[in-house]
Amino acid sequence: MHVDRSLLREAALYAIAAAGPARGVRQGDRRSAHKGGGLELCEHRAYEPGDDLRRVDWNAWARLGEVLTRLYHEDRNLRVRVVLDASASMAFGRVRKIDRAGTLGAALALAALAGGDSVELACAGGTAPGLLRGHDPSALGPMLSFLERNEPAGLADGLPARLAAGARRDRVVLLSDFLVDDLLRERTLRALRASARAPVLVHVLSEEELDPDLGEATEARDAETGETLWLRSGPDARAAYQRALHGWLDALAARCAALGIVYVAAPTTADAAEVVRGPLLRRRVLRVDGAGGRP
Amino acid sequence: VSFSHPLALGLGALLGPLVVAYLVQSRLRRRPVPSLLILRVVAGVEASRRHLRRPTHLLSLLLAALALGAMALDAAGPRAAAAGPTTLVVLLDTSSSMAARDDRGLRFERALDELGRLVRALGPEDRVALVAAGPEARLVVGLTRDRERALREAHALVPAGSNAGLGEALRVGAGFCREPGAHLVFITDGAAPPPPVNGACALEVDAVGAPAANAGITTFAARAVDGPNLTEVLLGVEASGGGARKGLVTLTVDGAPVDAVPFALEPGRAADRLLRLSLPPGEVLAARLTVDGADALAHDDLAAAPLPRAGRTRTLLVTARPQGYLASALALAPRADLTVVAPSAALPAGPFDLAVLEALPRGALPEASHVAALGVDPRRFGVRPRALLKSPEVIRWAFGHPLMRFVELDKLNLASARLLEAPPGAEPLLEAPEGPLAVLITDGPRRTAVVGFAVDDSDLPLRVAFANLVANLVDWAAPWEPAGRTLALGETPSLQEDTRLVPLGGGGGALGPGGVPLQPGAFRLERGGRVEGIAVANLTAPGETDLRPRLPRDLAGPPALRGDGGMRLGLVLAALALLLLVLEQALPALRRARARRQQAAGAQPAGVFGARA
Repeated sequence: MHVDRSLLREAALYAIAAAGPARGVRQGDRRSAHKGGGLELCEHRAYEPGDDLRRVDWNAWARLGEVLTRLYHEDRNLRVRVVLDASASMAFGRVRKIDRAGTLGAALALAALAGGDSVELACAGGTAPGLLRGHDPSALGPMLSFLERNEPAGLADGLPARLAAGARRDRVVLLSDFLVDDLLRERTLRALRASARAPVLVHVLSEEELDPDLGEATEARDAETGETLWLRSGPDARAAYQRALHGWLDALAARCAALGIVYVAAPTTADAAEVVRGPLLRRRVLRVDGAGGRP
Repeated sequence: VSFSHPLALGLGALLGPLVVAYLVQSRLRRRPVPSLLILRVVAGVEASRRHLRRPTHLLSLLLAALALGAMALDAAGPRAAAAGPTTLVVLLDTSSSMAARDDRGLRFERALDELGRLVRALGPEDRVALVAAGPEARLVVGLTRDRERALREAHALVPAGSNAGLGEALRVGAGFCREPGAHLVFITDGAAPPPPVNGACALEVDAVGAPAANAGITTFAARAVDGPNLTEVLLGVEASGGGARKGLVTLTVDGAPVDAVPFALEPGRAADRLLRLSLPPGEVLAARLTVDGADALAHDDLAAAPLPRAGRTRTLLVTARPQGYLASALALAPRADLTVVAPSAALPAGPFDLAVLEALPRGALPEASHVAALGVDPRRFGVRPRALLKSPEVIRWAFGHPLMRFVELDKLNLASARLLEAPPGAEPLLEAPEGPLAVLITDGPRRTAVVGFAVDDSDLPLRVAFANLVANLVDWAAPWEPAGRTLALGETPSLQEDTRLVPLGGGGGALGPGGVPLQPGAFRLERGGRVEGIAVANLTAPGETDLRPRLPRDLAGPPALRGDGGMRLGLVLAALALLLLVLEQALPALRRARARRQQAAGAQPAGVFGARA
């Protein structure tokens, strides 16, 4: 796939917006649920043998006569996972869906890495499926190389397994056209819901889906299943298709909302930067680094 | 209506597949899609079962059908049945310009193709005659129904020479106009417009020439001038077409270069040079033109000229001193046939080439083309004597004159010399400060050198100059033998029965059947194994060098007989059909693309999905 690197410079200005306390295991700059050796005072508790004497609040002892130990909020990083659907259907579009998904995925990964978060970049399907982890911006290079080695191929049925693998993350972003049957769609959405506290579906569609060429009767072949189907042509067929498309999109958006998944539409007919500046910021998937403060 | 090739009408059967190709549903229109998930709602089972579609491009189908019909009809060669058999008389231009390779290839090959097309269009009852129009007119094939023979004979022709025989060829061709259904067709490159035909049938001209850049030698001649082995060479070069170029003419004798003459060639302008070269007599001077650029015709790049050879000089010496210096020197001259007579003796019968007078003969002057009067009364030659000078000093002499070549007269000691009064037109040869001491008078063919002193009155016989002067006298008066024969390129030479031409080699000179020179060059004339002389054949025709087609506009069209109008109409219709088909296919695609652009530029770039974004 081709990653549009012009977007990456802008992506470094953003950070992944956290939906709650960070659960990462590494030191970060996001407030976590853990209490310990941070900078911001959280609470006091009774001294227990073994506590660090430097944390004993001597002022409280002088005032109250009780030996109390100071507890601080611990700052951790986010654990972010970006999953790309690299099935064969992603190879379509004047701007290929896989290229757009790769560009957005790389931008999200960079935003996370620049914020000190841990990132897992995974490809489901394609010619080189796999997963790559990184904890700082130096991991971006291997990640880009990993993405650019991969080309769309095969089915999308590996998405649920890829989403379910590993521990629950703070943020999981799935970039896919979601052209899957109802059963697989439900499994995938549930797996996405289960994989993170704040899952996001970036729905990448091209003009092949939004306004397919129905000017002449055509024998269409499904790029993933190989199934063929004769298609009608003409205005009636186009109108019927648009109705079906609307229904399908409405159903998907409604199901995402029901499962608490943030749904972001990313048509390839629009500029990738517009998707970043628009819905990804609006839906609080990203935030402007330094301006949004800590969650 | 009958057809020359009725089987060609079978081409019309292609109309069926053409119509089927328009109507059959294109089952090959398949395309991969990302997914059939949503497309299932527009699945059309009926569409897949239809084999024929509703014809949508009827106009292009109609035009394509018409084009096919026109081409099939043309290939079949329709002829009006009532017209009767045709008599085709073809005049084929075989001048050298037809050997040129122009922008479209070899002209003569195209002419043969045209001839083939014309002849093969004839019916079995039609007749054909072929007349070659080159430097001479030749009836190659008389009226015959054997078309293949006519073509064979035409292919055996080689273009060479001028088009001097064109008028005669037209007269020969016009002689066939009395035949029923006569068509007179002149296949030419159009380099020379044909004169009008005085016959019952009009001349149809089939011009096969295309513009071509060429340069060639248009003038080449050599002649002897006064002086030992001095030859005057006239060299002319002309260019046509293309831009300004540079050319170089290399002159060789027996393969050895003797001079190279550069030319700046400009189209349409002739360039001439007059050269004076010292060349061996009796040899052949060859010229080869090379041009830095396109040069379509090779025939005019070569030329040859025989160099004149000096004969023996019949010399008469009238002297009172038969054992004197002059008599002795003339007797030693290798090419002088000397007769010495005393002044009082009767003169032998002439004519002589040279008469040297040390004394005036009794009676009339001898009959000679060249006379040298040395110290005799100049009044006999129309020159008035003036004063007699004692020990005059020679201050000037005409050292450039052939008589005075290598004659050094500085500090010549003269006992006495008569001052001469040069008549009008006389050329002074020797001059003292007081006036001329020797003059040259030209009187028609007779030339007379009058010298105001006798040889014995000077120390001239003691100088080397004296031997040179005597040799110059003999050469000056030597008769020049004919240089050789000049043959016309492409024309049958008129030779004696047992005489034949043999190419001399050196890159030029090639003979065709019947001993016709087909390439410029030099030849030996051999008779019974003995060389009789030299002959040269050159093109040197400016009309052939200029390869621009110059046919009048009303003659430049193709002959009506060939009847390729149907083919042309068919091609035009086919082109129109193709254009229309492209438009029919392209316009809907453009409309779709425009709709997409409008959609992309609209408020909702991707419909409901864009709104979500």
